[in-house]
Amino acid sequence: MADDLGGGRRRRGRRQGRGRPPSPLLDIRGQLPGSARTALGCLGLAAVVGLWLWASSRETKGIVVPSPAETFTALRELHEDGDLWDALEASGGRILYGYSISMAIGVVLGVLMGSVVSVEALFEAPIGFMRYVPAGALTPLMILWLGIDEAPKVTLIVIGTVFFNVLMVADVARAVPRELIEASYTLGARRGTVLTRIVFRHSIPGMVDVARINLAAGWLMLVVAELLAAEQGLAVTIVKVQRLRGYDTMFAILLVFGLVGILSDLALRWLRNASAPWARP
Amino acid sequence: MSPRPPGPPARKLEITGVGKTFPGGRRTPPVVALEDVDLHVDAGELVSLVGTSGCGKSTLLRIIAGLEQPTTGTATIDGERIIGPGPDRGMVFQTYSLFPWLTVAGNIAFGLKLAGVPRRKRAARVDELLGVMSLGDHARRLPRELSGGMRQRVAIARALAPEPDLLLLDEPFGALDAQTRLAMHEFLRAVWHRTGATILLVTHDVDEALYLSSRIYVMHALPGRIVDEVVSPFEPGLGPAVKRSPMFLDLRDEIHESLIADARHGDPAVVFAEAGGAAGEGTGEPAGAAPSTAADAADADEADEATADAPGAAEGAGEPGEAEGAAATV
Repeated sequence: MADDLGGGRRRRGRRQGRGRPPSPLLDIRGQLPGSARTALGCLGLAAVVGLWLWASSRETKGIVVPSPAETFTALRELHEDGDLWDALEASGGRILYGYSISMAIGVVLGVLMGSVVSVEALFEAPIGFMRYVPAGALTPLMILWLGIDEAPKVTLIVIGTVFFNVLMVADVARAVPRELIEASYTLGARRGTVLTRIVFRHSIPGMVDVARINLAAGWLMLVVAELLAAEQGLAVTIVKVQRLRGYDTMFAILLVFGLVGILSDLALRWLRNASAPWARP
Repeated sequence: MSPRPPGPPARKLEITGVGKTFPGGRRTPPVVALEDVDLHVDAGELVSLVGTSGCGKSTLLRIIAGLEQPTTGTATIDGERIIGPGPDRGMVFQTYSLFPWLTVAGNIAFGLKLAGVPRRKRAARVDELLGVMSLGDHARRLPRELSGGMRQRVAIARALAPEPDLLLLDEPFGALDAQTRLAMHEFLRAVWHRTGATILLVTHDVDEALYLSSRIYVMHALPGRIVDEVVSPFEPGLGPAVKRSPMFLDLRDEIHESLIADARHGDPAVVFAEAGGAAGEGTGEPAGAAPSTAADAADADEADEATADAPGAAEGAGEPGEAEGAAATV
């Protein structure tokens, strides 16, 4: 009787019993054992290194891939010359400066837009428009207006990230439960107090996450700015060695970009958890 | 301390001809949430508003809190017109209203801090409330570390801290499990007796309203209006045994019938609840046994839904599974 129904589809060799058996590796939102997580992580990393080794061992016309060993040698040279640290200082300073301004604007305007309907109505259209103007397209304009000094680079980082920061912080502020705002009103809070003591306070972990996610866009704009005009910086170093076909140095700098990115990501993750133990998952 | 001081009671809250219409959208008609509501609460009273979901009882409470503006009519407290929220009307929400980054003590002290109460005095008041709420051991814990019942106790303590003229409770026990809810009933009565607070409780739980309050306003929906006022015949100090007295059960059935009659408008599922659920309520019979007609008319899924959705049927009626079983045997 059950043959033509679901029972007929049961495959042989499976565990006997009813229902879909759990799968430790493939379950959606499953619990992966710690050892399996480490193993898979190492596997992913090993695959990339393997691909790199394979690519560097081949000789394809025109495409030269330096081996990991050559790359690390180049990295050591950059370190010993001090070039790496000069470049990091120059690039990191620009990011720190530009991205701080961007986040400051993002926090103030975002919290206001996510909380006060009139502010939202006022800024929604212009920010929606500006967000779609590719910031990189403004590079020549910035150089004409602000020269080739630090100002245009910092400005580009700000422009390239601030609209995303504002809109995403506004979303974070909108997610503050209405009950918290209303409860504080019934406890005697004024609007300003609600903004600073409730909306801002509740949004802190979310805002750190926004900063972490959009930081990558900040590095993108930094490279765009440095490629056009700069004397020092990580992207500048890549351009400088281009004429000398310094593949190994280029790879070394790319490695540095990735490492700096991962480190800042980890630092901001830590900051989020440290700033809001109450919001820890 | 007696909740009702001798002499004529002072009128605390007065609602006159209050109506609230939510404007419709392009495709939705406007909703008359409240129409011509009159009610009052005297000092030291514990009054309940009961009604099914969507009858406007929460809207009314929010108007009193100052979180909504009435379209018509006025709400006054001690003769003064309510124009917005303030610390004189403490409010407890159903869930999610504690500040998650503040400890229990920090939450309770929040309103006092805003009022500029000096630290020493604040600490004393917080300690007092922690004692009243039996939360003494949990002062330094965060809301996420507390059970649902404890959280609502903190919310009540926080609302009471600035000594409000009126405490507004918006289905405060609705999200708690049945056992905790019963414990919270005893607890709220104790708090009421100890503090002499004036309390307005919104609930859909008729037992809760009848057991806790001195008066009950029964509301019907669409438009939200008060259809009945029930004055509790019970002494305020009576224990849970009163819930089994015939008078209590009669009053409870009367209010339930009124609410079910209201819910019948526009909801075919309630017809089923009336056939089984309502009869079951009165006689104590399980509802799942009665409605063979419903099982004929509807398939198992629909019957299942009807039992689950019918307001007020949840307590008297059997498990949804029972109805399903009854239908399956046909």
